[in-house]
Formats: sequence, C-alpha cells, structure tokens
Amino acid sequence: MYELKDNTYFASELAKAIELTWKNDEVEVERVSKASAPEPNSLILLDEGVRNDLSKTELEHLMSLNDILFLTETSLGTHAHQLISPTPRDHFRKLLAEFFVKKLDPSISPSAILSPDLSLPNNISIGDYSKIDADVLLSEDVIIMNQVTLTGEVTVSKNVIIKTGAVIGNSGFGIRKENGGFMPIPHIGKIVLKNHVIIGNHCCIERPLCSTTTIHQNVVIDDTCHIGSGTSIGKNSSIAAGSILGQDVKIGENVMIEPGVKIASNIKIEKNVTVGMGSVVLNNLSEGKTYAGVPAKEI
Amino acid sequence: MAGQIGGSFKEKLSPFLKNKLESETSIEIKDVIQIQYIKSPLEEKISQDESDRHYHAEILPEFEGKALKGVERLYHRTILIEPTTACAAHCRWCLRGQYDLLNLSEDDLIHSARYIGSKECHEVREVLITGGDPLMVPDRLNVFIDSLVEYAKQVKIVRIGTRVPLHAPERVHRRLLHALRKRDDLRIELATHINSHHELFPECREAYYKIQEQDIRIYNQSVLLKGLNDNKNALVQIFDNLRDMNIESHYLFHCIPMQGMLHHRTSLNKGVQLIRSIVNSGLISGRCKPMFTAMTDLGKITLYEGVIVERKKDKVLLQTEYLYEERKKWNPNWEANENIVIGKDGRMSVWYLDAND
Repeated sequence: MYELKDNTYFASELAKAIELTWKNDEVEVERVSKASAPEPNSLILLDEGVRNDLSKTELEHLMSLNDILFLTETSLGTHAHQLISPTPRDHFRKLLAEFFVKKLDPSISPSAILSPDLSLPNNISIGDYSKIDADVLLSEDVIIMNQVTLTGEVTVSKNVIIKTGAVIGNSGFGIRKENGGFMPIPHIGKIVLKNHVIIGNHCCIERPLCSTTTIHQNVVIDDTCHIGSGTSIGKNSSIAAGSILGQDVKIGENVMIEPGVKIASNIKIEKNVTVGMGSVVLNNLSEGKTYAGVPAKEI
Repeated sequence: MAGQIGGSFKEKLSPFLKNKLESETSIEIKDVIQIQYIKSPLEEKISQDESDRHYHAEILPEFEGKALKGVERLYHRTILIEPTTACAAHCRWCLRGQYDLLNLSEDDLIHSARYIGSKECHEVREVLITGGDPLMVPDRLNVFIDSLVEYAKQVKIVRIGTRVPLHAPERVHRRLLHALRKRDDLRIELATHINSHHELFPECREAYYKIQEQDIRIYNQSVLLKGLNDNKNALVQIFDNLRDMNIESHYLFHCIPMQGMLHHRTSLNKGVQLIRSIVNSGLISGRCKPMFTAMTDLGKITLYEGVIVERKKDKVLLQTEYLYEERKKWNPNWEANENIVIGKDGRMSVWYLDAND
C-alpha cells in the first residue's frame, strides 16, 4: 500500500505545508519516530497525550536532543526545536502522508486469480494469489492485498481495503443434522462492504443464508476477526483483533469492540457502546455505556 | 555542498564519519576527516578578494509564469539543477556553502524538467544534478529524472554529483538505487569526489560497487587540498585506487578561493607541478590522468599551456575560448563581473585569485 519516502527535508518546508511559519535555525528531518524511541533527524509528535505517557526522565532526555523536530500544541519551554500547531495530531498525519510515505500505484498481480466475467474498475490493486469470483462487485480505489478470497455476491464499495488472507463470502455455520451427520445448507445471501471499510488480515466474513451482512461506512475490523452471517456493523465502529461475532449480531454506530471479545448470535449492541477486552457478550447492550467481563456487565 | 544554517556554514559530520573519527586509530584517517569536515578558526580569516559564491549563473526567474528555482546555466550543452542544498556532511571548502538553504518540491522539479524540455533549452544535451547532494533526496531525484524522460527528450545524459557513498554509505540502499535505475534513451553518470584513498573505507567501496551494478558510470573530481593530498604520493594513491575501483578520473580541481578557505589552498603553480609529475612520468595509468582545472567566475578552465597569460600580485589572468555573445545567448541573465575581461574577438579571460604554499 505504502512505501517509505527517502528524502531530507527542512523544518521550514514542513511548517509551510501545514501553513505555519518557521523562523528559527533550520533542522533537517529525514523520518518520523516515536517519543519513546527517538531517532536522529526525525519528526516526533509530542502533544499533551504523548507527553502524559512519558516519564520525567524520558521527557528531559527528549528535550536535550538537538536533531529532533517536535510537533506540539504548546511551547515546550526549552531550546528543543518545536513546531507549535493548534492541531498537532492532524498535522502529524498530514505531514506523514505528504512527506514520508508514498502510496504505491494501483496494480493487479499477475498471480491473482480473477473470474473472466469479473468487471474491473479503475485504480484497483489486487495482490498476489488473491481469488475473486464473478459475482463480486468491485469499485474504484479499492485495495485488495495478497491471498484474499472474495466469493459469492460481495459488494466492495469505494476506498475499501481488504488485507492479506481475508476470506469474504464463504458459507456460514448454517448446517443441519441429518442421518447422524452434518449436512451443509446452501448460503445464497449477500455481503456489502460500504465506503472506506478496512478488513484486517485473516478475517472471515461469512456469507448469510439468504439475508445480507452489511459493514457500514468507515468501519475498521482488525486482524483475525470472525463476522458471523447476517451481521450488521454500524458506521464508524471498530472491532479490535481476535474478536468473534456470531450470526445476526446488530452493532450500532460508533461502537468500540476491544480485542478478543466474543458476541453471541442475535445480540443487539446499541450505538456509542464500548466493550472491554476479552468480554463475552450474552445480552443486548444499551446505548452509550461501557461493558466488560464474562459475561459482559456495565462498568 | 550545503547552504547556510542560521547565517553560517555549520560544521556537520554524518554519523558514519563521526563514528570513524572516534573509532579509527590511524592518524592519516583522522586527518582526512578532520581536514575536510572540522571547522577551523582559520575560516574567520577572510580576504576581500575571496568570494562568497563561485559564480552566478541563475537562469530566468520564471518559466510559464511560475518561479524557476535552483536552475543554473553556464555552458552551451549542459544545464545544472540543485534539488537540495542538504548534504550528509559539510566539506569546508564547499563552493555552495554560502547559498541560501533550498529544497525543491516535486512540483518545482517537474516544472524545471518542463523548462529544460522547452525551446529555450533545445541545445542542452546533459543535465548536471548537483546541490547539496542529490542523493539526500532520492525520491525527489527519481521524480526529476522521470520528468526529464517525459518532458526533455533531447537530454541524453544525466550527471549526478554526490559524496553520499563517502559520507553515509548506508544510504545507498534499494530506494536510492531505484532512483538511479536505467531509463530508455538516457544515460546516468555519477560524479563523485574522492580526495584521499584513506577515506575509501570498505563500506564506501561497497556503496560505489552497488551503484556500478546499476550500470552507472562513476567518475571522480578531486580537489587539491593543502596538507591532505598536495603531494605526489597522495595523488598517486587516489588515482591508483580509482583505477582499481573502475572509477574514471575527471578533474583535479584547484581549491576555489571561497571566503575563509586560504588555509586549504595551494598555489596554482604547485598544482601544475604536481599534475606534471604524475601524468608525464608513468607514475599512474594513462587511463586515469586527471585534468587540472580551476573553477572561475567564468566556469571551469583547464590549465593547459598558455592558459595563464598574465600575473598581477596574487591574481592570474586565465584565457578561455568561451565567447561572451554565446554565453548571453543561452543565459541572458548572466553578467560578466569585474574579474572578467572580454577580448576584441569576444573571447573571455578571467582574473583568478592564486594562493601561496
């Protein structure tokens, strides 16, 4: 997706890009680094949130470094080189995107296995050994990384990113017992990934029996998550790594599911809820509250 | 080759050179680093005849209504661009040490490439990318070379001046090599600047070899520096090593009369004697004989017989075949300064500040 850029910049150049002025001696900046692991000639975000996570000794050490450019919301009161911005976090992200990484040009790997009937829009990237079937509907500016499987009726909207190893559209857990054995039931439902959704590495999103699984706009699903059939995840929600959602789970908008959460089938989680790490959700959760534990309770 | 920071040309060593200075025990190696990169109090001793710049050759201030930055033109076939003034280390005698700091954006570089491809530059065949050190901005360098391929198809050769393999060999990695990759119908050459065989550390040699593996021809321009290489043995060692490393020998420059650099400069006469003693003696291979050259207000002048036509106190008059009218034709902005004499036949000569041994 991205490759690091390799250039030397001056502080004045970076300041100008975020509409700030730089009047001090120039500082050469070649990379970004973290306040907890500073590297020479780097740009470091040092806003209040970052400072609060540092010990006094770490902060003093940072302030003694003369080859670092700090991006901060207030004067640090030292001789350290500092770029004072009203929105340091936003500006850090802007500088990172503009100066330190470049987006790779869209390309389709020759090893990708694409149905001859698949319609390919512009600006799409498909990585090595990814397999995409004919009924998948792809949009512009989508990135599909390596070894991804998209099968059945899957709609992939604009700017969706599907990371390595994700499997989207294989049948769900719909089986029936017959003559002492398990018989699979055909799954013919749909999956819709709306704009700007990110699906993490090695996630599985099941194809529903005959309903629709919908992942709404700006949802981020982290690595190794399982999303059961018929589930709906509201916009701007995030599901952290290793979480498992049963069938027909309904999650509202702006919900935060922390790592390793298990949610039973048919559960409804209302908007603005946070579920703590490792929780097991067996009951519906009410709007705006925080839950944790096994089973998950309001805290 | 880097500009001013806070009004002065600061001392700067790369982490690689700093480490060598601290860890190496050889006095010769320490001297090579100290003489080249450590700021001397003697730099404060400035004579009025010394310059803050080697020449002025900026091109039109703008092209198609947009500022044209970092482009210079002195010669008929060659145009010069400085994508950055940043360097990994600061060579004290740098001829661009007093320039204002400058970093060209990708847009600036594409604009310059379009200018080079315009009718104003239809006779330009070579582009010299210098600085600063262009290998400090490899991604921008990549954009610029690609833009030349797209917009300036008459350009056949790109030359890149760099000391990165000596200053910071760890920077010669995949992304940098990608910028130097071969393009159709365009040859890339690398001009380097080796002043002593003692600075050819194994890491530096390896960096040069990696570049050569890209099918890039490397040539060398040394500067004659007092106390560093102003003797026969030191020069023979440089040229023998260049030969061994398959690096072409190009110029041996007389150190330019930049402000505060007198302590680095030998006399022109000493340079001529030294070059004679190594090139007309069988001491070095005939395939690596350098041209002894002075960088003057007019441009480079190789010191063939008859070039020095007059001497007044500490200045010499150097005769060239550069024609005033031609120079104005391809760079109307260029002005002859007080050191330049225009002969009746239009040929220019230039007064050049000599030094003592």
